[in-house]
Amino acid sequence: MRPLVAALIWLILLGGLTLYMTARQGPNRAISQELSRAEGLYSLVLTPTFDVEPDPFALQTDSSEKPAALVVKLNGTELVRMVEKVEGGKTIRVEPIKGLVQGKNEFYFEASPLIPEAQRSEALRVRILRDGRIIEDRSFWSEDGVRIAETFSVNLETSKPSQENGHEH
Amino acid sequence: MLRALGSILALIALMAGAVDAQQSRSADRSDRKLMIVCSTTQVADFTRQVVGDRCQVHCILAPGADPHTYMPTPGDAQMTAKADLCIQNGWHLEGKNWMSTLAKDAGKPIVTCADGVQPIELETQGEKIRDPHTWLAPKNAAVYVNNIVRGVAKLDPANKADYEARAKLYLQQLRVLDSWIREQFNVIPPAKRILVTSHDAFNYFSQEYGFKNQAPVGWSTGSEVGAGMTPERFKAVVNSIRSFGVKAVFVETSVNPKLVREIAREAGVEVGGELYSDSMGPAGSAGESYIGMMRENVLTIILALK
Ligand SMILES: [Zn+2]
Repeated sequence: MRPLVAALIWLILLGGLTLYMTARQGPNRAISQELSRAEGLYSLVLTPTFDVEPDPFALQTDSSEKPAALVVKLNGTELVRMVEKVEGGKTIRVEPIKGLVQGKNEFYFEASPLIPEAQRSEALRVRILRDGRIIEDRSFWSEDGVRIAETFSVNLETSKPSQENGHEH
Repeated sequence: MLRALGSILALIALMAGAVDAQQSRSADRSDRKLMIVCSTTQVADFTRQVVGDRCQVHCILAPGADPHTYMPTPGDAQMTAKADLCIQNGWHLEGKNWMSTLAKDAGKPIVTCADGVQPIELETQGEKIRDPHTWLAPKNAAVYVNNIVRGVAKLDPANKADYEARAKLYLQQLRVLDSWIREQFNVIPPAKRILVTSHDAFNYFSQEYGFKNQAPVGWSTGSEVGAGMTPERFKAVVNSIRSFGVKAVFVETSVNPKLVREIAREAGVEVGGELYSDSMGPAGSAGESYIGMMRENVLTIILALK
């Protein structure tokens, strides 16, 4: 009987403390959510009208790290990072696009026009293809050399993909 | 049994209390703001843009003070002794390295903002000197901001993301400033882009925006090699004003304007206004921030030269 009571007491003690600590931590715990992957072969095709140069105004958390010329993120994860100059008119193709999920997907694009060419309007053309068919085609514009930093969302349904636009400049 | 349960509850309360005390102690520690001591007004502005209100930022130089000739006071040494981090421009802008001496004497870490900039080397009296006035090109100011972010993130890694987020916004503002300057200077024909100032501070600015620049005083107003005014420099400036048909010359807010006024008289040109160079303007003035001082400089130059 005595060992059983002792065990019960310890259980209450530890349980109480764990409960207290959990309550102190509050609602900050990460919400994990399983997302199912989108079906089909998706490709991303990027065409800048300008020479994309490594951005001298980029944040460089590591002094040995080269600043990026072009960055694409998908749902917060880096998909493309180019540190070398990308010639204007040249096409960059990413296939397949890893990390696409069913439902809403957010893309983020960052590209810096060459500084001395700053007086012109320039664009980055972005196309998304599903099994070789264009499902999204748009251009992001830069005025007076301002860096392109844009997001947009693509909604992928199981059968027919549709689109939903977000905008940030 | 009841007594046993009572003592268990008391024990739980005691442990919970200990956890609370531990957490409030660490909160107290994190409540003390880190103290950063900066040498120049520009460096202090960049630092504030990165740390926001998370750290206390103190600047040794007052607006309008000359970093080349400044002599640190006992008060500066006391302030540096309390600092968690020192930040300087470097490359001998702080005459006789006064900021790194203060930091070294107090045993404090120091960030040199100019490190990583592509230097313009001035060859003078057989010595090569890296021109320290690099911040006058916004893309170099971006190097300063990145050096500051890395320095404060090392000091306070818990708030790294916060510093980086602020820096990212400010770097974008610097990029916009740079594009704006290029657009504005379009109105001055390239042949008229000649900048005559008090001392040789505008090399990076001129290189970036297509100006030729000249000054009667060398890279420093102090007594270093290649610094100060020489009769040859004075003569060369007057001659080029005449031969290039320069419309106006400029005084600087942190340098005695006497010499430039004399040159203007000698060459028969106007003083086009006052430029911010080694120091920003006082609080409440248009030049109280880096972006503000650059904007005002550009507008002053355009008004005088176009
Ligand atoms: Zn100077």
